[in-house]
Amino acid sequence: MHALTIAKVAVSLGYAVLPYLVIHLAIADRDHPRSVAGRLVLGTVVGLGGVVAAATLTSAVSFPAYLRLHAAAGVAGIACLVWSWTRSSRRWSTPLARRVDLTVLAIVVVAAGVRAAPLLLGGETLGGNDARFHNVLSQKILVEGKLGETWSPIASVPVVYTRGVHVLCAFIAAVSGVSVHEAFNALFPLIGALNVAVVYGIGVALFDSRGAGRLSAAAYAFLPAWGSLDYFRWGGLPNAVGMLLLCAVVWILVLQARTAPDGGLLRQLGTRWAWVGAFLVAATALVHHHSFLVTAIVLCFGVSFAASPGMRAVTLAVGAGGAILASPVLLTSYAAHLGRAGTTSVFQFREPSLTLWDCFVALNPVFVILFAGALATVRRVGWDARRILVLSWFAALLSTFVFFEYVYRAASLLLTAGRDMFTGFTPSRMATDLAYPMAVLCGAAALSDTWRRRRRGATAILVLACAATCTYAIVHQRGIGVYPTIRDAGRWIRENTPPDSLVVGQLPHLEYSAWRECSHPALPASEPRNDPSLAWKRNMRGPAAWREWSLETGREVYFVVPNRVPPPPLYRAYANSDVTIYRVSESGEPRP
Amino acid sequence: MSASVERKLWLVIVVALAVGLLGSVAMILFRDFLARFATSWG
Repeated sequence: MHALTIAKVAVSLGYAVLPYLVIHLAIADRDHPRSVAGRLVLGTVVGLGGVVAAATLTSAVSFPAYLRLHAAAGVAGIACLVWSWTRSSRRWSTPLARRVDLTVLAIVVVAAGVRAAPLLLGGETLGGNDARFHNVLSQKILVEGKLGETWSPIASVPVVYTRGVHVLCAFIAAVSGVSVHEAFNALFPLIGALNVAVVYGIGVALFDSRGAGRLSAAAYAFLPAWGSLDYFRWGGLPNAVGMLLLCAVVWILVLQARTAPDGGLLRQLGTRWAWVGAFLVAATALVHHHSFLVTAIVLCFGVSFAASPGMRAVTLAVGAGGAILASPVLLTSYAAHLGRAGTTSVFQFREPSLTLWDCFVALNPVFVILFAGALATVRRVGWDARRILVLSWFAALLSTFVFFEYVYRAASLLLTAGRDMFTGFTPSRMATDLAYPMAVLCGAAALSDTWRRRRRGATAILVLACAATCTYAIVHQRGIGVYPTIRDAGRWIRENTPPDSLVVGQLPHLEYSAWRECSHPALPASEPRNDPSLAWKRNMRGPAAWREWSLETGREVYFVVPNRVPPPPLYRAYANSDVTIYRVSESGEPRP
Repeated sequence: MSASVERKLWLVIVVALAVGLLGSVAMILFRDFLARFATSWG
């Protein structure tokens, strides 16, 4: 990927977010954050939620209509801002800190650079594992001009997956001229940088210390692989955006707990910040099912373990408000698909099992040790209501991960009398999400006597650990999703075969490249991927069965086979250095 | 209120870690048996 592509995506993201950022700045309460940079960062996240919500809801009917509406939203935003500034009572009530923390700005820039490095050094990438289906969903919006009901053309089952991030990718692709996979992949460094800035904001608000915030930001930016440095590897952009929204919610709760007047749920629901938090919760429901579930669990823990009536009231207000705002989306999204739950992998998901040691390694031993040291420091400086909220965020993720990874698996083994073992709700992602609360709490280490006494030594060790981790992450992710020969083969299919052709093969990103119905489409766990309309294709054995099906239906079938496997006795239609395409309906000698 | 809530929260974390440790040990001890269920993502 070229640096110019990332720059185009960054400008387009700014254009996408700007109208809602401006509206937020105009109508939100002016009591916090206390710095210009803090308000801009929080406003950008709210703006991201705004564009995701507005674009998704409009694109259910028409995506081109949203492209026109966006300009109108920009005009509305400017009008709001002018209206706001003409009212003297709405001006900044207290002077804002205008100086930008240059250290954290450097951390944010380097974090974006580290996340962009695998893209810049590795060639034209289609993306990590999950990008296989994310690219399809984004491209569908561009091709069909709306969200679309089914996974056509790659599969004929309904789409259950949230489409907030895909609409954003389609929007960026439409306004910048880049392809959707470029938009998807270039968003990793940009969203990653925003995540770092928000973690810094929470750290500063939590410990009333810039040093603590810087350490939180650096720990998050450069140490954990899961939940931070390796998002690109597995294509987890919706998770990254969902966690960004959740982090902003926690930031608001931490700030609100300090400044909001005491009062019950109703009084909190009367504050604008509670509704901003609620809006972000609802936006999560449009971005990522899993992140929404995690947000709901975290807020439930936050309410259950609130250390003050004020914290309980504000957490409950944000959660209840989020549930109210998200309920129409949830009802329309889930109600229609409840009958198909058995054909998804939500409750029977098969992924490699994880020990706590695996998590320790994937989260980075230095990160976990720093976290443990930070917990000891917080014990000394005191667990107030805000810090207990973040600890409950950690406890919520840890206990949910343990339940689904060990208890659920053991139960599945017992209930099937030892014949099968599976898990549910993808517990590995809950362990992935642990990086966020852990990083925030890591900031407390900067308040410890040891850190203060040996600051230079501790910083040097941390910098070395960060450099080693980042180097490994860059090297490990460089070249991921770079499949020029598969893309060429897919392009040949797109340009030379009838639209109703069926492609047999399991090569990565084949669905997106070929844009045809596939025998093994990559679908997420939430989709009805065990539906009979898909399962039969996986059970077909050999060219003879496919030839018979082709004759019966009159549809052409193409085998896409890597050259390393023995060639089937079929007509060779196309070949490049890695991949050969065979047409099933014609047999005979391979084409010279 | 804060101290009591803090204790309960730590109890949740300790229990989760204990269960996780037991599960991890079981996964290591029965690695051969569990290998039959080993699948790739999906």
